[in-house]
Amino acid sequence: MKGCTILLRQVVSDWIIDGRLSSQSFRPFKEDTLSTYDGDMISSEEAYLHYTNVLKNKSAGVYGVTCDEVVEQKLQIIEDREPYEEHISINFHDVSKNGRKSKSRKLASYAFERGSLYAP
Amino acid sequence: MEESTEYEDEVELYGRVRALDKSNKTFRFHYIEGGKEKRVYANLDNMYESLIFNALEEEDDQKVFIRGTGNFENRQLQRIEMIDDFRLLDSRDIQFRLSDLKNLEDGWFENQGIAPSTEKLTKLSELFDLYYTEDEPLPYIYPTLDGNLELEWTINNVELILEIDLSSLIGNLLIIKGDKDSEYSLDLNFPSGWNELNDILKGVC
Repeated sequence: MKGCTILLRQVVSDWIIDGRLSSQSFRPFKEDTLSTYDGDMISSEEAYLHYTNVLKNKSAGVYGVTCDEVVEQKLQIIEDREPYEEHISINFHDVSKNGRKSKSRKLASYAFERGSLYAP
Repeated sequence: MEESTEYEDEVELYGRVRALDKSNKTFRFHYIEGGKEKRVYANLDNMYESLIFNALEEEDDQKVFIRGTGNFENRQLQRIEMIDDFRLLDSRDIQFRLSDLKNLEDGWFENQGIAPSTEKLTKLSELFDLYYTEDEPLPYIYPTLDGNLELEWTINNVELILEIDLSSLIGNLLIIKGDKDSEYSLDLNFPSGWNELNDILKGVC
């Protein structure tokens, strides 16, 4: 992956108000890692279809941040490729609760500025 | 003799105007109840006619509030007979949003995600109504996966995230200015907690 590779993230409608994304959209809940799709391997639409049709989750749209933007937040990118080939994790391990909020807010703002990459 | 199940009662509804029937002097109002969209017809009131027209013409999904008298049958609202108050709302109206969140169901995010308590949302609505200063910017109100809320503001390049535990009504406010952040604990059970929140927001604006 390159610095400009976009990591695709699905966002539920409850976390979008007037197009603005909740910082929670880019923050892991109980886990240490945030799941994304490798934008070099799968299109936004395909990622949406996989997330909703195969994984049976709800999504209001696909948003993304670049690898450079993730690294800028001093977060590690893990090319785990599991449970599916396009799966990439953003690692929040060892980041404090406030740090997670702060970094996720920044990532959500980058994604918001980039705009929706796919909406059904 | 069978007891009548028809009655009139006051209604307060948050929703959207969807259609107008000028010849019958009615409009169709859509609102969410129990997670489902409901439709009801309302009599077009002369006093609020222009506002109702505006609500329908707005392209960006104008949210409205209606208070009036409804006609019920078997506990189901059949029609809004009379309108006592009709308001066009900001897209981030706090009362609309908190009312809307009552329709969230468990499993709303990746089959996890607890729905916030309806009772606690009502309590928080009352507190916002009483103590949140109207001239402060409206927050973006998002549900959290553990059944609580996070409110966010972006003001003058400052990010504010207020996590509210709905059970205790204790708020944890994080203020992020560039690389620095500061944290406040706010007890929203008491006016002092709201005053502190209002003062902090005023200081950032």
